[in-house]
Amino acid sequence: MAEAVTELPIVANARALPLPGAAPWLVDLRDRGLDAFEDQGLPGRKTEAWKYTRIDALMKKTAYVPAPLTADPVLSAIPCELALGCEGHRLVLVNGRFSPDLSNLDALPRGVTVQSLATALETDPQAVEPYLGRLQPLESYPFAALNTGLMGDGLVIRVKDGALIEMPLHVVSVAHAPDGVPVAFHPRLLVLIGKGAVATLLESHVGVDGGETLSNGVTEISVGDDAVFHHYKVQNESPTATHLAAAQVVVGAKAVYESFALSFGARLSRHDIRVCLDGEGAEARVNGAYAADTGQHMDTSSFIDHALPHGTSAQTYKGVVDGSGRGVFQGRINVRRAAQGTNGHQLHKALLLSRKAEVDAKPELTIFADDVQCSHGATCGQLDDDHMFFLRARGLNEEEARGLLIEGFLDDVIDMVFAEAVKAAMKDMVHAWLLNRSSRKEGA
Amino acid sequence: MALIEIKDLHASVDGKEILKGVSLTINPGEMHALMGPNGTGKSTLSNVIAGRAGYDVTSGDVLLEGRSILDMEPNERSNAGVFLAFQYPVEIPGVATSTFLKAAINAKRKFAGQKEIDAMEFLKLVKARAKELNVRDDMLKRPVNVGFSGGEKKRAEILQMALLEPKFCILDETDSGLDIDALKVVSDGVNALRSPERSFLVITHYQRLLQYIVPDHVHVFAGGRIVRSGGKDLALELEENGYAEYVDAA
Repeated sequence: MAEAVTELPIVANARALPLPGAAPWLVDLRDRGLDAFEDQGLPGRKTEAWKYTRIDALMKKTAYVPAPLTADPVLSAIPCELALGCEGHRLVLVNGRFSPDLSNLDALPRGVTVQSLATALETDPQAVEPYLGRLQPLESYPFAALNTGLMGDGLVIRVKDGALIEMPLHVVSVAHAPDGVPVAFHPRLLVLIGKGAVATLLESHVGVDGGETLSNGVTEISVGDDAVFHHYKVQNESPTATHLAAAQVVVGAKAVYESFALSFGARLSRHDIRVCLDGEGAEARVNGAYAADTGQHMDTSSFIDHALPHGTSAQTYKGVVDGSGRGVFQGRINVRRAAQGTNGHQLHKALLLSRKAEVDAKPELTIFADDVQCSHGATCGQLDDDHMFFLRARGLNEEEARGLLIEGFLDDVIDMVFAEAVKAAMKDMVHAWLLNRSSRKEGA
Repeated sequence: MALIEIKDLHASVDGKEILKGVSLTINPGEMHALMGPNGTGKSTLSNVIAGRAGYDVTSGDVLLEGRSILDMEPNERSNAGVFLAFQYPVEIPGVATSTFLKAAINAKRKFAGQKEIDAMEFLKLVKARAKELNVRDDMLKRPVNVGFSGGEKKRAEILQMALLEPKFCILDETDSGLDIDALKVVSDGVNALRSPERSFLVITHYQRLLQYIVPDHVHVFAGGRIVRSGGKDLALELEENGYAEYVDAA
């Protein structure tokens, strides 16, 4: 049911603001975005895709101000300890705006070009016109539509056909509300991986100084035929942050898309990942892990769409939920009539560490082809008594044994990460989360 | 003083009495074998000593160097020097063997008021002990027992024993699932750990293991208690005649 969403502060405040770029197609795209958001309304109780994750109250009551209207955030340094700790060409967004001073564009390898979206829209809009908003459908995800309506900045990343890029590109998105005013921003990433190219993109989403922030990001990714694209994301925002992210990935013939999303932060996070296997023999490995504690709600919703024959998709997600935290996993695999010979698998495993912790899992398979192998599974449990006794019989106290098992539970899925350096950095983050967890417990 | 004294120990599971008055004294440096048919409570005895939950000790006591351990947590017993080598070592995905070994060594050091082992010292120590037990380096990198063969799992248990240097070791059916080569490696490992201070209780169904690990004392366990004790020759006699007479008597 449509509500007057244009009256919401997040929309009304943003509309008063000039956005970069005046090309007619862009103005039209933004209008269509806002219209689509208006048509869908704020997802609420009756919206199936959002029935476990309620966001309407938060959006109605919080007077979010668009980031460019607040004082220009000045950061002398980014909070590196919260970001993925591995080497990469750093591309920094502060409240959704590209920050050249904090970024490192000098040493970009041949075959890669990076441009801020604002610059692209102002100076060379026709170069992005064929892609922007074409990959991400507006009608099925209200916040992607909102992002499209209000997008002002972000990044355009292109990797040329056949380029082999060894060092990852690392997008660090910093959320920052220094003066107590709730800040909303809508970063937009457009990533175009050429045919036969090999590249890695890291995304670290972090917060500084707390404050109420809303990051409503959209990432559109096109992986060309025969290309291999690794995409790793860490969400480590402040405990007062809201993190909404939609990634739409289109994978070409015999191309591989590998992703891993790791979440520790934010009060409320929703990670929507939609992958369309849009070429014969395309492959997607879409994995992730999350750790939610009291006051945190983490939602991962995936949609893998097998459009053409002989595609392969595999998803494994694991979540640890402590205190009164809540985890949500909605995973859908769709196999279109043409997608014969599809192989699609999905697994979600949750570990509940307290009686108040809650996890909702909703796996779905919709299959219209007849020659397919598909499976899905969801488990939800507690720490294994035999494992606990084994560790305690080797001298570990209860807390140490629990810590090691929780770490192992998450490390087990992080082991699926292809890039060794990223794998190690993610395990370090899990370890740090556990150390924080035990100090929180001792403090409590 | 005796290292371990088990005094008229009675224990039950879900109200059913399994241990019906076990008494056993083990002096420092002694190797004891506990033999008996399956399902008579041998594993219950080892679990009760190690402190696994789910067992009610209804009377009796277990003393380590004169001090009761029954009120201790499993980790406190371990740190005090009790080690149980499991019949079925668990697989723990995601926890690297080396990470686990380091955590166990540090738990013991913390208990003893020592500082944590540094990374180099740990590596040196583990590699040396692992080599003696034919444990390959790549096993240390793999998750605890995941994908290990039966023999590798048991060698991993003995490696843990070698690193934690306990006073009292219980080997619960360590020979089960081992071929003869693995049995020899494991036995050599155990024999290398024998010392005038360290004592062992080897629980087994078969005499075979005792050809390699030669006991000072052999006990026949049936019906929830020790029904006969003797020297190492008792094992041979049991091999010949079986347990029938004890089962019938129990």
